[in-house]
Amino acid sequence: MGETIAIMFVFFILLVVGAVFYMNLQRTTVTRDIAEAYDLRAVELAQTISFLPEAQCTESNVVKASCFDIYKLIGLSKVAATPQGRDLYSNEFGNTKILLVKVYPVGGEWTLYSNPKANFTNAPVTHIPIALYNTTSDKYYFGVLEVTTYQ
Amino acid sequence: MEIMGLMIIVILVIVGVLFAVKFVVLKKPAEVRQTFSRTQMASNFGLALMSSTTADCRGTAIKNLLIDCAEWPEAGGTITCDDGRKSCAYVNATIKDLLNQTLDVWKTRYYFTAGTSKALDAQIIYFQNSCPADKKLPGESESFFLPTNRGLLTLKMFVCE
Repeated sequence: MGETIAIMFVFFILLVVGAVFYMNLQRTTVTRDIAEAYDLRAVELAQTISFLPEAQCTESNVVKASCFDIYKLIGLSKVAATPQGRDLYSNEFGNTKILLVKVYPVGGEWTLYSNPKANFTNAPVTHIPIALYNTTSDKYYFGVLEVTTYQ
Repeated sequence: MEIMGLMIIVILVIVGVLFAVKFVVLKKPAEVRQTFSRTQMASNFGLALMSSTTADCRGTAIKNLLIDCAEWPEAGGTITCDDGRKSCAYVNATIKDLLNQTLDVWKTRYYFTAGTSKALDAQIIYFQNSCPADKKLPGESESFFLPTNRGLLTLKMFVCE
């Protein structure tokens, strides 16, 4: 009788240890899934922004890859700063900050959209090199699109 | 007899834990954003670089300076920029500056080469950051091709993991 009770006792201890271990594993998995979902969202956003028709360079209605028109960017940043523009783009971009920096020749920075999360835990930045086209001077500059995703 | 039962239970629990450790804890997390960033970085860097217009080299595109440099490497190129530098020196300095301001700041490991032959010492442009071109390291790359009278000029941007 005593042996049976001891075995049952050990068995239940093992069961409890197993359950605690399993719950910890589940927590790790859920945390990782959430991080992956945020990563996917960041990728999706970066892709959406890279192909924004409001900013892309076109020549005779043909879209140029990895190129933003500076004048369209200026217009877009002004529109996105208005309450209506912010409402419109918040559905698409959510809690992000989209900044465009002219790297070569140095100078120029445009905030295309900014809606930071109040208490964010993490804010990974995705950098996308991009060509910037000045239609009046017919010159291309080297720029970088910085997409900050607030988590 | 009960001891045998307990041993079997303990063995089963250990096997279960080992399985959980193998498939859950040691599972490599998916690097979706990092892989995408590397691919995007390699391809966009090359595209943006080639189309960029120089600031003080008669408004010539970087692409044309690279072609000129690849066609006349012995002379350092035939195009003389506003500051007196030839195309090879100018394009080397410009690309180095661009890489310093971007990939180096972001602590991205990469190598960038440009040349008409595959030999590393024959490249007209070679820059790297903790990722030498002569070592086979995992990562994402993108190549761009420009026609020259010395053959195809290949620009390769490799972003290491």
